[in-house]
Amino acid sequence: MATIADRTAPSGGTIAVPAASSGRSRGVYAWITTVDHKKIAIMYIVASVIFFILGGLEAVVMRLQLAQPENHLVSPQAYNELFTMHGTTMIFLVVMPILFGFANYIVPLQIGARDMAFPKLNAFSLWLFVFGGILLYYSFFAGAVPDTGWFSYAPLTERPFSMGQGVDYWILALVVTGIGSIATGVNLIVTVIKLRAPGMKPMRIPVFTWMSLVTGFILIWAIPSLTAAQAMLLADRSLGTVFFDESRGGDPLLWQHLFWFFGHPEVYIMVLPAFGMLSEIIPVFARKPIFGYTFLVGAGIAIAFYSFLVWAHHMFAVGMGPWANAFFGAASIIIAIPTGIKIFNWLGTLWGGSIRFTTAMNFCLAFIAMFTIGGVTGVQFAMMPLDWQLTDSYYIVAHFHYVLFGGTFLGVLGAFYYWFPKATGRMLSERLGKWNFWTMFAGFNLTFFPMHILGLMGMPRRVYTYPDKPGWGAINLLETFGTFLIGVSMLIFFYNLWKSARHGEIAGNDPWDAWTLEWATTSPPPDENFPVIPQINGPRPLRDAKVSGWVLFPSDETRPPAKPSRLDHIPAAVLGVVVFVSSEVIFFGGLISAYITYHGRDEWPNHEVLEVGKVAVVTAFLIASSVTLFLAERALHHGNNRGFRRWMIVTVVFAIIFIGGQLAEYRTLYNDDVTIDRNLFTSTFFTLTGFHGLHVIAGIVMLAIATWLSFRGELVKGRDTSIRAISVYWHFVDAVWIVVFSVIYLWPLVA
Amino acid sequence: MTHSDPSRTPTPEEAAALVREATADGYADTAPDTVDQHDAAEPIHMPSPSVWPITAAFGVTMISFGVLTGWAFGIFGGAMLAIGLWGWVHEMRSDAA
Repeated sequence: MATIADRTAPSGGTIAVPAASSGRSRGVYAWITTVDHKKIAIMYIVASVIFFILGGLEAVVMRLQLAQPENHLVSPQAYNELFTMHGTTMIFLVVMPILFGFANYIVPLQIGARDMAFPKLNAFSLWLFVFGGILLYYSFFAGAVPDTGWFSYAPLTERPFSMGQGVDYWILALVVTGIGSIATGVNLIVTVIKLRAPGMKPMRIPVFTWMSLVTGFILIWAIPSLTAAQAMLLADRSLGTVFFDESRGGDPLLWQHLFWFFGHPEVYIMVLPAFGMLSEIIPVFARKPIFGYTFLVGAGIAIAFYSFLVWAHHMFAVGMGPWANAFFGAASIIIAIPTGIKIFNWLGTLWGGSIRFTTAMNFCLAFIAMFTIGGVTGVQFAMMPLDWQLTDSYYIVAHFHYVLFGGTFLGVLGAFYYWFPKATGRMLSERLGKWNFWTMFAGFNLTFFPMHILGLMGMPRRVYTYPDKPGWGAINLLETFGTFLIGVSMLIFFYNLWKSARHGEIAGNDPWDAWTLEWATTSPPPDENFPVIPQINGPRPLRDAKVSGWVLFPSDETRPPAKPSRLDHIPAAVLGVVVFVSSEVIFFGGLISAYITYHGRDEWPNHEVLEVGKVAVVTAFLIASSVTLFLAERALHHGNNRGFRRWMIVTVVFAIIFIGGQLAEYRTLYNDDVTIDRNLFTSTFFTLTGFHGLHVIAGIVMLAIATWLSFRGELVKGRDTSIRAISVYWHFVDAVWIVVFSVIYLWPLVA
Repeated sequence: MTHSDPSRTPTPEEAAALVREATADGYADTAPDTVDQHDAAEPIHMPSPSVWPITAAFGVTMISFGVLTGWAFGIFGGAMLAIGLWGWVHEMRSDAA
């Protein structure tokens, strides 16, 4: 640590924190270099609010265009750009990152940790989101605004139908933010698993933290499917591959499958943390513990599980066949059950409670009602005949806005009112809050409820104007009025933030008389969060301290002995890599499934051009490199540094031989005019093996650095976490190749 | 009014009042009833600020920008990413030392 300032801790000990007096760490520089989870959280939230304003303005222009029939305020092209950017912005640059912001701020505090497990990775994630968002909006300056919808269906996104660079901006900006989101998922998972305070057993974890953990898993397993699909689409557009080009044998429906395998879990990425927020706020303002904690948590896990089994209910209209329709329809009905359980959990908590109708509580109560409407209309889409009638109509627009606006966004506003005092030390004005709430509630319903009616009347979505049919103009005008009411409500909200941050009532540490750990420290918390790591004795630790005199912050002498966990011996870095490679399984799964889908469709070039024998030889070297790495680790474990270095060098050499063999194969194929843009086989072959090769090269770099560190005496027994983490990655890369080799090279032989 | 002796259990009302008072304002006031008094607390080492995460993230973004605009930005992005990761690794070495 470069600079340390000591200050007296309440316990009488000293707390070493990075000095704030250094000129380097003041002002803007302090913010862009911070790795403090609380500052990162604030930047997430501020950046999300800025993008919210942009996305909101896009919505306002859309509503002005739709205010009357046959309107020509904006052109059809501009309207396409507006709804594409509005959807993309709200999902990827507003809802997801603002939830990441709340999770960043609250989760470490709720589990009694000092920070996230990987603070620098946390900062990396934040900046990827910020830069990715800037890259997306730079498309306006480049004159290439994405215009194909937030789902970017192929073949509309293929080069012949979208000649400009709008789709490319959409792909690359979201790949950048997607990397950050996966890193956030890894960080959340490892933080909750590894950094919980002593005594915080799984069934004592606050529900918001539980839902953030579950969201972390959805993030790491859902986003790679989108990334794989985007890689294929970018290859189609830039390298001439044919993944989704129907004219050359590709299948646009593959895009839809890969996209919605991401897209439906994405809904729960955006909703589960809001469920967690409600589950924190409602008990506090009902003065009752959450009703059915175990079922509430279990329902969250069940939702995450089922979220990966329902993706094709977005595709009923494409004609998948009765069995697929029946399966995905049934799964979509089933997922409503755990979601319904949560509704009853909250109602059960409210029942018999001493309810305080604070603004935060009002937003949560509105959430329950509005989200239930969105949920009910969602279940309707599980019934194919109804879905076929309503799909692509404004009924859909009403449905998902009741879920994401009436649900998530109202929950987020409630969370603002609930946790703003913790982050700033001042209360938000309740008077302004009530104005904020009622104008928002009215504006939201005026805007989105009539869309149900319009949808049933047959008004299609994604059209820039509409004919003057009976009632359509009046209903649309009403919706536009509602949009402006939402705008007024948001202005009240921003004014409340601005005013209360300066002149709001001093909050104190625990203004709501709450029960979770974030309220057991100052508002705002210090850098280190807590004077000492708290000791937990139940699901409501601060209440235990208040009511039964439980000592939250014991000294070493009085702290009960820690019970060992089976995960104790796994360092956070190793666990992080394990979690990360599980995400990579989905990425490679997407690429491999594309290969399998298209296998055998081409006459030439196809798998017959491959030289199995030569590749088998270099494959043997790659597999052997896993063995030599294992031997290197074993040597290090026995304190044999020379042996470690020797086996590491052998590992690197074997890996280089593998890459050399792969490059030689590529050269031979290209000399035979077997290029990536020839057909389905070459598209899938080069993309899959190419991405694997990039992973091997990254692994070689890491192995080489580890070897170099060993020569410098910095990687020795007892300080070997890095090589354990790299080892997990390397064995995974080898395992992927075994699958790839089996599918591409051996499968045809067996067949 | 303190609760430094964990073996003594205050009445619920007493404890609630104590904690509300203790967690009212200011870090120094957080402790009396929820923190055992002890003299030899271990120094807490918080992670230092770092410029490398934003450098690496900028590099990743510029690589993407290079795909859109031209190889020069891509090479610049790759260099920024390499510098960012190198600095990151160097800091990890320093922290471990």
